[in-house]
Order: sequence, then C-alpha cells, then structure tokens
Amino acid sequence: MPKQIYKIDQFHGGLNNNSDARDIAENELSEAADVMVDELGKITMMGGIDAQGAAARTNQINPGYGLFQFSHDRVDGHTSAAAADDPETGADYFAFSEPDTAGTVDIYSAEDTTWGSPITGMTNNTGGLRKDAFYFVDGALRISDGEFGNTNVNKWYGYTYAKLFQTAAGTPELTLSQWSLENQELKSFTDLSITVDLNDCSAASPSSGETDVDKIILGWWTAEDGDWNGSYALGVTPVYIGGQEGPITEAGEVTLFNQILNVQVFVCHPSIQSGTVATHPLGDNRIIGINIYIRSFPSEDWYILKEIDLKTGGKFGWDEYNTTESGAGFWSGTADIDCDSSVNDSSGAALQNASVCIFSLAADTEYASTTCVAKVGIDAAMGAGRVGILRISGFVSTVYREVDISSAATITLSGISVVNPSNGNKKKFTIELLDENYGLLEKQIQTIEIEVDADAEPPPTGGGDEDEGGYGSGST
Amino acid sequence: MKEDMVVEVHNIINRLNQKYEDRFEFYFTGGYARNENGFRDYDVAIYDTKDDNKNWEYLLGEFYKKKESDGKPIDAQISQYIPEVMKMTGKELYKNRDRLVKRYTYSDKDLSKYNGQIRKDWGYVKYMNIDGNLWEKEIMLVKPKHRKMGLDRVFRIYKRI
Repeated sequence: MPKQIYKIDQFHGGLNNNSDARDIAENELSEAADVMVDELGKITMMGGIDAQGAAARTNQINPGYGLFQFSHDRVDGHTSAAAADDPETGADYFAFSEPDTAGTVDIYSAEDTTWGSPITGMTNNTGGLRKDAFYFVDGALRISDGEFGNTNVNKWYGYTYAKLFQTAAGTPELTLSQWSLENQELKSFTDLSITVDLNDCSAASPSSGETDVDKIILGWWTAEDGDWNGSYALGVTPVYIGGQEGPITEAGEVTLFNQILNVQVFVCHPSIQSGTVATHPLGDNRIIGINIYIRSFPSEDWYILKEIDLKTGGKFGWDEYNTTESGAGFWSGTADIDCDSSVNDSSGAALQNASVCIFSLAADTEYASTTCVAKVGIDAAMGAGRVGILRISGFVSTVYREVDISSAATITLSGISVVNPSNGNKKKFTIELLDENYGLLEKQIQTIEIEVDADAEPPPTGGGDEDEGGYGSGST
Repeated sequence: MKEDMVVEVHNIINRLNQKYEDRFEFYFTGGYARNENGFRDYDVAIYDTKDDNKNWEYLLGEFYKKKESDGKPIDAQISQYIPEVMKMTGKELYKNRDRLVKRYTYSDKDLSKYNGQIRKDWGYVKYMNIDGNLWEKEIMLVKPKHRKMGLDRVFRIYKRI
C-alpha cells in the first residue's frame, strides 16, 4: 500500500496532558515546551525572558487571582492626575491586586518601569481576600471582586478625553484628558448625589439661592399656541461615553394648557472660573450628555424629549451663567411707539404705546402691492448676539424680518414688501416678535382700516407656505 | 417644543435609528418648525453623516405618504447642505439665496416631467431619477415664494428631532 499523507495543521487546542496521547483531539498536543499556539495554524517559540526593570512589589496575593496584563495607547496609566493630558505613544501595563483591606489594584507601567496605585476603594474583606477578575475592552480596565462575600463594587479604570461645555466659538470650559477611576455601574444622577430640580424661569433665571454645587436645574417656561395640554413629569438621565444611559431621575412636574414648553439646562458648578473649570460637575468623568425625558400623567411610560450634548450644546453652544444675570435675556418692550396715521383703524386712531407694530403703510387700499414700516421697541438688551424674528400676519402673505435684539433701542424696519388683504374697517394684523427658536417674546394685534379699491383683484393663490410641496413632489 | 402631536414622525425615526444607529440626523424645518399657525405639512429634513445615497431610497420610502396624528402629511427630504445652512445668519442666507442646491426625495411618480421647467413659485426646479423611486431635485436655496415672505433674510430654522 503506497504511503498516504495525513496533514496536521491545527494546533490551537493546546496542551492536553490529561487524556492519553492516543485519545486527544486532532488539534491538541500531548507535549509542549516553550512554544505558543495562540495563532491559528502556527507553533511559535515562546520567546525569552527579560528583566522587567521595576523594583520588587510586595503585595499580598490570593493565589490564582489578581494579575492581568493590558496595553493602552495612553501612557502613565499607573498614575491618575487631573488634566494630565498623557501622550498617546502607547504603553504596556500589569495590574496587580492587593487583595486585603488596603483595597488597591496596583499598576505597573513598562514604559516608566514604575508602580502606582491608581485603583482604590476595594477595601472590603468580609468574605475573605478579594478574588479580582479583570476584563479589558474599549480601552478601559474593569475589575470585579469574585469573592461574593465582599461588598466591593466593580471598578472602571480608563482614559477619559472630552472637551465639555464648549461655547459657540468652540472653546471648552472643561477639558478632560486623564486616567479616571469610576465605579463601573452606570448610575442615575440620584445615585451620583446630583440633585435635579425644575425651575420656573418664566420671569427670571435661577437665583443664587436656587443654584448649588452638584445640581442640575431644568429651567422651563411656556409660550402660547402649543399642543402640550395636561400634567407632565420631566426626568433626566446621564449619558456615558459609548452612548450608554443611566436610569431616569425625576425632576418634577409641569402643567400646561395648549402651550409650547421651553426647557433650558443649567449645570451648576461651585465657582465661575472662565475656561478653567477643573472637575466634572456631574460626578463621573464618563458623562458626556444628558437626556431629558417626559411622562404624561397618568402614563408610566417615559418618552425622550431632548438629547443634551455636554460637549457642543445646541446651536448656540454652552455659555456661562452667573446668578447675578438672573434677569438678563428676558424680553421687555418700550411700550412707547405711537403709530402713523396711515395705519389708523376705522375710528381714525392709530395704535399707541406699542412695543411692536406696523408703524406705517405706504398704501392702504385692498390688494395693493405696497410697503410697510415696522418698529420694535427694545427696553432691555437681550444679550450679546441675540437675534429675534419679527413675523407679521394679516397681509396676503405672512412676512418675516430679522431683528437685532442685543441692545436696547427702537428698531425701524423699512420697505417691507406686502400685499394688502381685502377691504375692511377692522382688518386684524398680528405682529409677533419671536426668539431664535421661534418662541414668542411679544405679540400685538393691530387693527387697520383697509380701503376699497373697485379695480383691485385678489392675487392668485399659490401653494402652501412650507418648504416643500407634500411627499416631495414639489407640486407647490 | 411642540412634540406632543408628532407621534408618527418619532415612530418612523425611532425605527430608522435602530436600523442605522446615529448615521442620519433628522430635523424639523418649514412652517411647523417656525411655529406657524396653519402649517400645511411636517417638513422633515435629513442629513446623512456618511453622504452615501445607497440607503436613501429605503429611508425616504419609510416616510412616503405617511400622515401625522393630526392628519397632516409628512414630507421628508435629504439635504446634505444642512450643516452649512444652519450656521448661516440671515445676511449669509440672503447672499446665497440664488445658489442651486440638491435635495433628495422619494416618489413613485415620474417627477421628471417638470424637468427644466420654470415654475412660478420655485423659480427653478429640475428633477433627475437616481435609482428606483429616489429622485434628485435641484432648486434654488430660497424659492421666490419664500423671498416674498422675507425668509431669505432670516436664518433658517432646523430643530433637531
């Protein structure tokens, strides 16, 4: 019988010195010395030994537990210091448990040939010496005490990097770039000892008595013509790196009557130090966002209302708030504009003492294509960079104009092209000043007499006012 | 926020977010976002962070001929210019109002019959079929009807959903 070839190219079953050599699996070895089979289809030399260079470490040992190797892009993992901004040149580490009541896991850095004890707090030995199990994923080390008689909680140790609370210019108030030790559990704000409060900001932003360290304030106010109707509870969750969320902490309840709900988030910090906020104000360096939830009574189901990014904020970024500014940013009109006779009503009187109005109208006959002048009286500056929108309804088309509301002044908006409506003694026009989110700041109903023009014809009606024509057909 | 009535939009977006995770950004725009009384439909503007039209037909098809809980139609379109336009001030929008931009929409009808036609309220619109029921619409950034309303001088509102 000719020789046949029996090919053996799988060794990853490893050493099996338990079974008889004739009984082992095809990919197992009956003997192995100084070789590795960790790569599929390969047997490689194990390599030599080398002095690790570090001073000896005297740790108590629980046999079989407490030693783990990991590598990381960031150096200096054996220390943990705020704003360390450790380079990304890479380092190899040993984690070595001190399983007694010292409660540490020591880290050896091969890059610095130095030991450190950045992982602390696992001090409970009620059930005996700790039996630490390690798990390394997504650039972070997790340590769990396998001695279940102990009360030690699982730890998370990793590098946290985030530029938090960026202003509109992109400047962060807090730059986190450091090794961080946290409890692994994704906690709620309540569990993190962060108070969450609802604050009625209809008349003023939170006062000095309402802000406090370790506190989130959901400032809220309403606007007219909304769809919210009933009692609602608001809640928040912390959003951790990787997009994972903690449980909901209920902030309080609001009752709305066909209104729009506006919410502004205030994250309190013990001191205002522009650009140099030193610590994460929410008690865990892994938190990079807040989700706001809402629940309609009596339902028990929460629905997400808004995702708040702690890094970039919204369109206008984050801004510093000092309670001395609690009255800033609230609309106050001059209430002193007396309109021109061209916008008289049927009694021959024009609107007086207005804050927003149609000041004059170049032609007052029906369907006339004409121009109007509008005025906005700002009594108190709304804040740097603030832009309002003036909306005038009542003409054939609603018209919009931007208004600079950053300083106290009476703004005149001239040459606004309009087409008058049909004739009437008391035609009603609605003039609204809106904020950047189209929330109402001021509303004025103005009555103007529109004269008859026997030769005038109504303008042809177009499609809707929206950007699109329905189902993308462009059929406006 | 006027989120109470927009149940269907959120349901669709939740499904799409489960399928595509954070790839697509969804915004309300148009009359609903401007809190106008009597807005006609729910305009949903979508931005694809991967800028890859491979899944756009399916995505837009999920919104096609859908109605919100109040019976008003949902109109979803993909606009890859959103990040640029949402940063524009009113003055910058005015400077760019004649710029031709592309939006992507879904339709099971042939939209190309309007190809190159001058339309009264759009000024200019050109449709081109991309694939199946996915259509590219080339239009001016601000259509003439909105210019008459002064919306070419007001920063455009996009409310993230």
